[in-house]
Amino acid sequence: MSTAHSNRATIFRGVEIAKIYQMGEVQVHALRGVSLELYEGEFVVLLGASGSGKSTLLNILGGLDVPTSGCVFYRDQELTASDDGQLTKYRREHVGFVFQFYNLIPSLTAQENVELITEIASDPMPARQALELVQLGARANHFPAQLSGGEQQRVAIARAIAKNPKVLLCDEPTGALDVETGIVVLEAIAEINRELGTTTAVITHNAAIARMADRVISLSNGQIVGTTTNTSKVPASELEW
Amino acid sequence: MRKLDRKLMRDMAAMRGQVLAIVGVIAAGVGTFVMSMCSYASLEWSRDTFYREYRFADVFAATRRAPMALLPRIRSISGVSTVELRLVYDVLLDVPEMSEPATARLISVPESADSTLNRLYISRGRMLEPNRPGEVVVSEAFAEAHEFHSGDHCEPSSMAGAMNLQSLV
Repeated sequence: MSTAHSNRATIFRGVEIAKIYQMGEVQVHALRGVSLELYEGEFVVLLGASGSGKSTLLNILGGLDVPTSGCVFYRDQELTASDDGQLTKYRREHVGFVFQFYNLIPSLTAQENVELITEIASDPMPARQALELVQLGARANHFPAQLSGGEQQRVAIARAIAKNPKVLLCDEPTGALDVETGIVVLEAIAEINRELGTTTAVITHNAAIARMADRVISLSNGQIVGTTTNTSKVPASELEW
Repeated sequence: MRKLDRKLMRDMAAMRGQVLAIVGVIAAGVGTFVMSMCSYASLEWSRDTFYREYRFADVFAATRRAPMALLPRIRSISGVSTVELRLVYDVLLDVPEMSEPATARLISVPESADSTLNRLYISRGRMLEPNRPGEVVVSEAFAEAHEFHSGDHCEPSSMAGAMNLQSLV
């Protein structure tokens, strides 16, 4: 592994992860023996074209899916040996998810959407604090329909980090946003990573976003085709695409 | 209030029309079900009460040319608690509005009004009285269909010959 991460503890370890979807008589190989490690507190971008397997990999790391073969460890917990109850507990206590489409509940305000999570989390931060971390403290009492796309995505980020997760997994968080709004969202994610030390993995097909990561893992056709470490990260505000 | 409960309340308030309609349908369904069950229970109770009070027989058996001497043997059959004998006889009646004679089934009743089995419920008129031959009690449906009333007379067909059937009571 890169020496740049030698002083950081490994938080995820995947060994020969393969995922095959059976579509009738056809087998679709989404992942073909992927091995990787993610380290505490790092900002990783999983870069790849559509169909490269990056969402499948993120879902497996997040305990939303299980691989066909291979092993995945979160610290000392082997996710691939965990049952549904253990995976639910793992997701609830350790993982925050941000998806391309925000999945907010329309009939709850921004703060109430965040409180949905803080009500069931074991060690959450106040919902208002989570919203302030994404610069939305003033919009706490607004309903999703009263917020722009970028604001809704930032509420989704606040909801993901309100339970103080160790890991933040973002699946195309800027996919539905324009450039300016996307940059605001990426700044919020980078701030969470920097302020809270949350290990952050962002999936994207947008190569420009890779410049703000500590490390970039490139995927193609279900395999890792390259890993690069950024010696100098670029702030999200300086990204262009 | 938990946030999911608040979501539920707001969602229900937003579609209160549908909620009220669903509540109405459920209430109507439950009401109909309860009413049906009450009616069923009431009918069952009425039937059982009627059968019990009027001592409706469990078993009916017809015999031909059976002497009265058989009665003790029938009573001694295992499971038989009460036996009552009736004479059953079919006759032809001349009913005024009918072009052909009607077939009537005559069933005897004990002299005592307090018969042990299959007591009659008299909705109109009176029960037969001993020593008043020629009186009959007819079923309510038959009387209503032919507009018979207490005291009416019905002549037996000539084929009935010796039957002296005349007066409805």
